[in-house]
Amino acid sequence: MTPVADNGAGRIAGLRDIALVARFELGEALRSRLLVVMLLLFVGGGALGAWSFTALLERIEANAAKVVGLDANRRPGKMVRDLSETRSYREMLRLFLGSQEKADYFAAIPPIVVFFGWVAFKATPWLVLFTASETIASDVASRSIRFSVLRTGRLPFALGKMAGQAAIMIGASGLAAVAFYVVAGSTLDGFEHGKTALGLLGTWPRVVLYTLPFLAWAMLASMATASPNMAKGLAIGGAVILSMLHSFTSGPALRRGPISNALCDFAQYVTPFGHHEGLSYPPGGALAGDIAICLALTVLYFTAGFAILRRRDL
Amino acid sequence: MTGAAQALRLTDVHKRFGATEALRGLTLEVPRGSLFGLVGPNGAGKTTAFSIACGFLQADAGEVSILDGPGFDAARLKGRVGALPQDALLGRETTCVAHLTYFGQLQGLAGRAARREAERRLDQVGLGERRRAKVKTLSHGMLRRVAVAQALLGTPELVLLDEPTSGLDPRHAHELREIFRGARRQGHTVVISSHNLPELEAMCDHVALVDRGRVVAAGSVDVVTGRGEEIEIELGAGPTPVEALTVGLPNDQVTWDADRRLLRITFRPGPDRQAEDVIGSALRALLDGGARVSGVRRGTTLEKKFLEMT
Repeated sequence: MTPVADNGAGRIAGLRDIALVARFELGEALRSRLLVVMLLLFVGGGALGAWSFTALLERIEANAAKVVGLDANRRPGKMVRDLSETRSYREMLRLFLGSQEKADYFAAIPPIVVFFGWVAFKATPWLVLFTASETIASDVASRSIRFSVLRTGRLPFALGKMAGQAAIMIGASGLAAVAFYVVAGSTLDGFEHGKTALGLLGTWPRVVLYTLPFLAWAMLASMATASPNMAKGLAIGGAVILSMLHSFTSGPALRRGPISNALCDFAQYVTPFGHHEGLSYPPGGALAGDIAICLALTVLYFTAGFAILRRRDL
Repeated sequence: MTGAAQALRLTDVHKRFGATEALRGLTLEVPRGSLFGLVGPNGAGKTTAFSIACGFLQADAGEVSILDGPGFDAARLKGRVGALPQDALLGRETTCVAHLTYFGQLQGLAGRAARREAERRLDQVGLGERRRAKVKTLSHGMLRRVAVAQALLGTPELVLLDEPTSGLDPRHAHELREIFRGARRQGHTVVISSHNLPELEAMCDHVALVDRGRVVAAGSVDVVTGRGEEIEIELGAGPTPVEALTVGLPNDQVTWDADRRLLRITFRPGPDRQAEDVIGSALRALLDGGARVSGVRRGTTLEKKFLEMT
């Protein structure tokens, strides 16, 4: 037998264990077909999103063509592309976004990419909450976790589990972007391949960053209970409550003084919803701020979950 | 026993699950290099004690010392402790060898070495030909043997096995017992919990009887069963010269169970007086008195001791 070289670095051993657990998690997902289901969900979602966008455009453009007396029997997309190059489109964006800089940034992005970002920011977190929340809870329920935590600490185990789920999420959301690109490219008229590909490549890591706190929230639920169903319920139910909290605290109804304002602001920071706004913006303060918040929330949720797992009976 | 002589020590350990008090001040010392049996009825606390030793459960009170350190620390004990947890399931879709290779790597073996070790252990438990079989295709007995193989991976100094032969056919149970004896001969400490008392008595050199969350008797099998200080002689129909025997063994305690026609002689062993000497003296006195001896046994059985104590 060849033991791994003892370089005296427990940290390196910990990192190796995290990688081993993550790799095994990926393998288990593949073998149990969970990965296939996830990929189908994400790729199907991407393709469906692109198809919905195309169908919507087709209807809008057909109606508009009728009104102005143009040829309605052509592939959708041309009219929107022409529109996006007009001054009035930029002016509309400036009024909508409240900033010339942001308007210029979004005007340079193909509308299909903006639509992808909107769909991905809305859907990916819920898909991850649905698929990742059982990962540790099911191991505790079957007690298979005992085989692993006898050989590595609970922290490397939990981090490895999260890394494995993050790898699945990153791969699946990337494939969703590819599916979106392929479907949109084959159905839209005047599809800008290069610009759209670059736009999707730029949006994908932002979606991943935005989804990380949701993944950590799913891990929190998974570490808090030994029942896979309970973990799923906690993850999704808790996220619904956080979503409502985010909505209530962003409106004026609860903001009636300095203290309530501060509490509402605090609630806005600690809920994972809404931070895609900064992530949608061009590089700068808002983007950096929301990246920092997403990473901080990821650490916060995971740490809260691990505080439970660290002490609990397995 | 000194600290260094013990592989595992639980001192006054308490554990409660809701209203149920699973461990009530359990104290247990496992000598290093021993093949140690943990015996007790269902619900006695054996699995709870195992789980606390392995760090799966947190004790409410008490101290745990394992391989010369306080409590279970996965980093400190990496690769030094193997365990067969009761009722823990392996992933159904994964092959036996993939599971064991992963566990081997997690306990510090490099990739190829872990694979070789996984295959060696699967061969050892008679599953070499099923190494690439998915866990879901294995029978209960095969699953048990895979689980035993994972506990023995590498060179663990301490191996804790909870009901390792449960559900196995006699041949495979025998083969596993030989593997455990082999592990002990190589200097490993092996702790086994089981309901099969004759199996433990034949295999183990030390034993602890657990009942209602406490250890009620512990020590070497000879001491617990009284092999070194107790003799049972069964008599057939005919004369029962108990008086003559009592006179012949004035320093020993002789009891006669007329219903079972069983004589029990309790003696104090010394350098010049071992069980063999007492057996000789007793048989001479009995045969001189015309008794018909139908059986002699050193000490009592672990099963009888267990029934007496629990």
